[in-house]
Amino acid sequence: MNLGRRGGVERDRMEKTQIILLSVLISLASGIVIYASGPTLVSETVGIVIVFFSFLMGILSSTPTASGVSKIAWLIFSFLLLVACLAFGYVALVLKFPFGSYPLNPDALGLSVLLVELSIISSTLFVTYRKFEFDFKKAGYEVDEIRSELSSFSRMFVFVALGSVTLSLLIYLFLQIVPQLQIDSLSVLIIATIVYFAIARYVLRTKNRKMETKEESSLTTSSSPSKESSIDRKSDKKKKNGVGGKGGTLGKILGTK
Amino acid sequence: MVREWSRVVISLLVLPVVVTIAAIISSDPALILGIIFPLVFIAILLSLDKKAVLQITISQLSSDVLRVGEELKLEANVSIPQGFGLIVFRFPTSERFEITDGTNVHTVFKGLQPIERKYSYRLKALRRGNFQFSNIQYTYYPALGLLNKSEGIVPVNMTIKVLPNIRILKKSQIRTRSRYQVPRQSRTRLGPYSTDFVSIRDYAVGDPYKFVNWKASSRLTNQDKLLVNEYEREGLRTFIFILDRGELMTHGTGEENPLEYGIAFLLSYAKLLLGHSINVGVWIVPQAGEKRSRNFVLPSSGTEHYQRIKEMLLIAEPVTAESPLRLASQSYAVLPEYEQHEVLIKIIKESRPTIVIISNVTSSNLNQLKRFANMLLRLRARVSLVDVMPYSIIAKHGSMNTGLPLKSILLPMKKKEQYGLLPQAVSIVSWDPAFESIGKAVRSSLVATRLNL
Repeated sequence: MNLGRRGGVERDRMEKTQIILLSVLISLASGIVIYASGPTLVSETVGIVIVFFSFLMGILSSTPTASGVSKIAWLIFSFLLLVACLAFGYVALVLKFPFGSYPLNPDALGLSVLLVELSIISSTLFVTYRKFEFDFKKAGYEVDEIRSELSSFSRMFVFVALGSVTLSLLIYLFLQIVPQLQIDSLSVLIIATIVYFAIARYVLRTKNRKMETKEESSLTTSSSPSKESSIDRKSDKKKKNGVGGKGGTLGKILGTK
Repeated sequence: MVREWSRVVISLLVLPVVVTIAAIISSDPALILGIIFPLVFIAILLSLDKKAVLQITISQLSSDVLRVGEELKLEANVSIPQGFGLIVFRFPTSERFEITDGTNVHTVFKGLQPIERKYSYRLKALRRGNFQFSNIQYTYYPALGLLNKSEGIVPVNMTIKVLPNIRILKKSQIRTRSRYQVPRQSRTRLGPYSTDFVSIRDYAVGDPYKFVNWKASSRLTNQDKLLVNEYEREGLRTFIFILDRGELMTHGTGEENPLEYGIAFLLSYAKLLLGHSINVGVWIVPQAGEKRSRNFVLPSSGTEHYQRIKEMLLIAEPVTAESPLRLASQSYAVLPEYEQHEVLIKIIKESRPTIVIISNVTSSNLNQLKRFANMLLRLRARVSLVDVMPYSIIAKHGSMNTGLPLKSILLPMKKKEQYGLLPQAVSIVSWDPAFESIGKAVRSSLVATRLNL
């Protein structure tokens, strides 16, 4: 019995259906943006393909395992980048693709990529929500409480993502609008790369430290045969895999030790 | 669990790399948006990733002395001022308690706001004993999985005493008339000591130290010996209960087995006898490494004496067998330990008591019981055996694997044959606790022990 449950939680609850709906709608929006950006065959085809994949994502989410949801989001993302590579720039120039001079609106493509990234995050959040819900339910926790807490977690994550989108748009507009700061795209890419490396190194160092300490206290030897221990074991497995750790490919690329 | 979050982190790190490559190839400046967004997002999340700070207190809203079947209400107050992630709590409980309301495991997501929560749950006592409630455990899963999953404990110092449910037997319920006329007054009395001096004699094991006559002892040339004053003792007949704690007494569940029923029977019986000024002593079979003195209460009478017996039986646990070999050699063969028990032998010789052995008779312990009963009979004690049969308990919890030989379950008639192998002077009371009340068992035992109350 939870006496301290917040009154508003039930009303504001963000269920997993809402999360996946958000993900599907965002990827749909990216398809619509591409479709509506120009009356060309390429933009219309790409838009329709993205819309199709978005519906596929929605259908997959209703299956019992819903395993392919985030994969579809990644597929849309890869497809968009492939189209970008083939439509503009060096590849299109060298291979002389018959896409015409402006087969896609570049700004619409940029916005579309951003939306698909958002869709990737929300679909991953959906998968995480399902996984947690399943694990905790199996461990004998109160379903209502788990859902309530996971909803708070998802809501927080979505708010942070939306805040990041706003901030990203502001940075982008700032770079576009302010004339004296007009930097060419290559410089921006270099700056972004430096920022990226700084963040990635911080993240991977933290991960490495975590792997080295291996503190895993003796508390896991709990008396009750709760399934919570299975959750602990899973986290241990993760440590062995060393996500982004010393042996990770990403770690090798970035040269972290 | 953390792997899922790590997937988000990896995604956020991979996205800008892929978009950067695509942006370079396509030379589309608008793709910068796709690079900035993941970096901003991960930067914000990193700024929120902090270690958790928790304050947890637990309070008890009911008495710390319960009876079996009564409920204990606990309330936990949780305060989390810092952290960003999921926190899982496990509040204390015991395997001998059943959660009847609420749950002792909770999960909380700590976002940007500090969290104050109050949880309460109820536990029902299933078995007698002293139970120490251990620590509150918590596990903090940081939202991004970048920080270590941290686990911690909050010490709880809470001891709950659960008393067994005994039956207060009234005289009207157990009125018996034995076929034999046995005087209520024992030939040798063994009640509390009076102040009437009888004589000085040599010290014997079990004599209170306060009766040592130091002056007389110092006068002796042989310094190894001590002398004690002997006083007249009060009391009527003496009953000694010997409770078996072997492996056979645990057949059934942890809460319903011959040992638990045996204890309830013993306490109810002892209370009745003490109410009639009869001296009652209790011996429980010692566990390996246990002090012998902690396993018996010398015969005496009075209400205080009942408390002494109750305290001892409250913490009586079955003798655990670590291996089948040990099971055979020790768990079943615990009764003959008393063949060498000096205090018991001395009291039997002094008072010729009625000895009530509470056990579960099977072919495994039949020989030991037979030998032990013969020894008691040689000391001229009256011996009664209460056989607490677990078959109905096992049948009630049919699905459980008790390890009992199948033929013993299917053929309770074999009991008759087994009883026939015991000495004839031993009166046997066969008790099926799932069907017969304690009162009925006590009544049968009184008849068997030829006691008219």
